Order: sequence, then C-alpha cells, then structure tokens
Amino acid sequence: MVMRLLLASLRALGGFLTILVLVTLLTVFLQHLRKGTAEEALMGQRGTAQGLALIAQKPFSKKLADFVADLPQIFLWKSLRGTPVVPQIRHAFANTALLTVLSLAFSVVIGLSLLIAAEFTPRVAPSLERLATAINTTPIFLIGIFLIWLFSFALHLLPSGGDTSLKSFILPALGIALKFGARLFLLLSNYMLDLEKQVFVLRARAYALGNKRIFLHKLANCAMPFVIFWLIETASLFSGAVIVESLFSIHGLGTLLLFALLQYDIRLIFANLTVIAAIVYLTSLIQASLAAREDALKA
Amino acid sequence: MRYVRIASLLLIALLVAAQFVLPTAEIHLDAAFKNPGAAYLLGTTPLGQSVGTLVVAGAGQTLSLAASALVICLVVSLVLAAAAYMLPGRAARAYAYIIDAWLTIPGIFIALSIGYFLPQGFLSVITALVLSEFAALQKFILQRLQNVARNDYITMAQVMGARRKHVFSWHVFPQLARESSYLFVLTLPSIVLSLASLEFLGVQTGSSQLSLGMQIAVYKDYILLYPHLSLAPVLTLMLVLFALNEAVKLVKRS
Repeated sequence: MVMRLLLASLRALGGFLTILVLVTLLTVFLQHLRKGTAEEALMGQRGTAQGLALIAQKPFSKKLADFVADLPQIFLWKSLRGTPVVPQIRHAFANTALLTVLSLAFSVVIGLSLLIAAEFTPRVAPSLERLATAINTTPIFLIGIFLIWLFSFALHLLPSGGDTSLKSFILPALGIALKFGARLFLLLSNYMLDLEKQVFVLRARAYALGNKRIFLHKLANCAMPFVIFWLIETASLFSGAVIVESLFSIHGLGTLLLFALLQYDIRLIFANLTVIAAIVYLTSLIQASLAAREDALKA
Repeated sequence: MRYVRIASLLLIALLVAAQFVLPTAEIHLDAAFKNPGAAYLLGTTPLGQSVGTLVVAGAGQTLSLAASALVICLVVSLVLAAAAYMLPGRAARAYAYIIDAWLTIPGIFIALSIGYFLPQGFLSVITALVLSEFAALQKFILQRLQNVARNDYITMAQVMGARRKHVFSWHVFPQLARESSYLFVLTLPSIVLSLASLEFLGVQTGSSQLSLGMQIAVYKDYILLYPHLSLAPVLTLMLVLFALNEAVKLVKRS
C-alpha cells in the first residue's frame, strides 16, 4: 500500500516536472521570438536593466540555461515593472477562483433546472436540447456582450465590469455558466437516457414508483459523471475565464497573462502558465483516479 | 431537418464562392454610419464601407484561416504519428506522455502567448492556432493509431513478415488519413470558435480586411448607437457556426 502510494506520488511529480519543462521551453521560446532593440521590447521608459538583460540577443540555449538557473529564485522574482510576481499571481488567482466557483454554482443551477424541466415536461425537452446546443456553440464573448447589453445597459441591474464587489462577478460568472450549464444539461440528459435501460429503473417502474422518486434515483447515479465532467472541463473553464475576465475587466489570471504578454514580461508569463497548468494537471489526476475507481466498481 | 442541413451546406458553399466575386469594400466617408436600407443592405461602417460586403469577406477569411490551420495541424499530427509508429515502444510512449503533459496547458493560453509574441500576420495567427490545437488532435490520432494497429489483419501482416514501414504505409496510414478527413469536419467548428476568441482578445492578422472575430472586437463599442454594426458580424459568425455544426451532424450520420 505504502509502496503503491509512493509510486503514484512519484508518477505525479514526474508529470508535474514534465509540465514545468514544457512551460519553461515555451517561455524561453517566446523570449527568443521577441527580438529587436531593448527599447522596443521594454516599451520605452518602463524598461529596467534587469529586463534589458532578459531580452538581450543571446542564442536559445544560453537563454534557456539562464532561465533555468534563475528558476530556484522564483518566489523572489519581480516583474519588469519591479513589482513582486507572487503577490500578483496570488491576487489574480483569488479573483479567478471566485469567478470559477461562482460559475460552477450557477452552471449547476442552470444545468439541473434544464434537466428537471426536460424530465417533467417531455414536450419541451427537444426544444430545450436545441437551445442548449445553440448556447454551447455560441462563443463565450458573444454571451458576455449580450449579458452586458441586457443587464447593464438595458435593465441597469448589474455592473458591466470591475472586481471590487461580489456583485461585479455575477455577470461574468453567468456568462461562463450559461455555456457550461448547457453542456452539463446535454451530458446529463444523455446519461439519464442510458440509465432508463438499467435494471433498477425498469424495476422501479414495474413497482409503480413515482416519476419524481425515479428521477431522484437517476440523479444520484449521475453524481460521478457530473464530478468527472467538471474535472475534465477545468481547462475549458480557464479558457472561458481568460475571455470573460478581459471583457469584464476583472484582474484574474487571464487578464494578468494578457497584461504580461503586452509587456513582454517573461517571468510573469512563466509564473502564470505554471499555475494554470498545475491546476489543470491536479484536476486531471483526480479525474483519472475517480474514473479508475468508477471502472473498478463497474467491473 | 434534412432541408436545414442542405441549406447549411449551401450557405458554406456560397460563402466560399462569394470570395471570388466579392467587390472590395471601398471607403466612402460621405456614406458613413448609414442604417440598413436599399442602398446598403446591412448599413455602413464609420468609414462608409458596406457592412454586408465586410461580413461576407470576413466570414471567408475566418473560414480560410481556420481551415488552413486545421489542415496543417492534421498533416503535422499524421506525420508525427507515423514517426511514433516507427519508433521503438518506449520512445513512442514517451512521446505520448509529452503530448499528455502539453494538454494540461489550455490551448488558448498557448495561442495567446504565440500570437502576441509573433509579428501580426496570417502566418502568426495560423501558427498560434496550430500550436493550441495540436496536442488535442495528436492525442486523438495517437489513440486511433493504437486501435488501428491492434486490428487482426495488421497483426497477421506483421506475423507473415511484412515490414513495419510497409504495414504503416499500406494498411495503417490509409485508415488514419480517412479518419483525419472526418476529423477535419468534426473539429472545424471548434477551430472557428477558437479563432474568433483569439481575434477578439487581440491576436490579429494585421490585414486591412477584418475577419469576423476582429469585426466583433472593433464594432462592439457601437452596440448602443449603431446596433446593426455590432450585430451583423455577430449574427454572421453564429450562422457560420450553425452551418458548420449541421455539416458535423451530416458527417456523424454518414
């Protein structure tokens, strides 16, 4: 048991190190792409000696070696503007995490409401499925623009941007949640259809159990696919967050990456990409172990 | 539903054909901000260009950019899958492991990073798209390669002494190539979606002709004063996505 745990931890650590190598290569490659004068790279007067040294014309291997040598100091890194990197990432992460948690909550409400409506009024189920497919294929920034127009400009109910209060997060979270709620509904309704053929549902129907009871039993069986769905969708959730954050001016990880890219701030880009990749990797590990457990139970 | 699907395919064909006969949207400053009407079906831009002409040209550009990126991505994935098939088992597994690790970095973050660092241009946008979608497509093709390689007739060919190169080029590759053509249709809508999001976030071609994502980003500020200006590219993009999804359903059914 201890040996197996140790092996699993080593495998996870190996995976994380591979990701770190990939992010390092990507970052140094970006640094290598950005050639030209230091003034151009550092955007005029905001340049510092440290930034100048970072972007100086060196071969790729030298830049890679310098970057790797600098890695142990990561917690002391400063961005090109001279501000420490870690607090910036921490602040951005807190905003993105809040946005993600709110989106998750909203999408569960949207997905389950659609599911209940489809289950108890079968007449509207095809229309709901078509609506969910349409929302799922709509770009997230279009949903965001529509929500800003409706709730901020037309109804004056919610602010169109910012991250100072919880109220400012409602519209962006709703923007992400509409898409993921629709996706969740499509997934669960398909899974529920499969469950209809299961023995426990057929037996419940034979014993004349009410539709409500049967629905609750089916819903309980959807718990695992639901959790796995969310873990798989983490990467998409972050992709959605980067678009929504820039549209609603939220200082999250996505906006921070855009800002770092505009400034050509290599250290900030690296830290940002590493944090995001680590979160996605962690969720993929949990998802893999849950899926393996589910398969073992089915077997 | 069948007619909707046929109409969707016709729409895509028309959009492609229109690119060859479409006049350039000329600037007429005296006709700026015209509302939709007989002279200009969808109104005009702040520079007096016809919005109708711009959105049709933009849709064509979006489709061609997405299709080019997808073709390059599929060709590269197929070539590397072939290399992985020829490699010894351990090296092939290491390659698959790297692809899995690559998948943990969300595609849009890779695309944004590449897109911002390369100079504006068609090649930059295509490179950004290819790098962001490559890992997912490569993973799918590697999985298919594994399944195809396990087929009885392929095992039989190997047992009978056929060389690995021969087996790949005569038995495995044709199957993978056929599946890649299906994959092209299945993935195109999501690539168009990614491209539009990237353009909206500022990764641009730098061309004077704006594709749909760029038009949405540029004209979104006019939504209250001149809604037709903002809505035309939005509705065109949604129509293109709808048509592509209907094409996907046709392929899935076939």
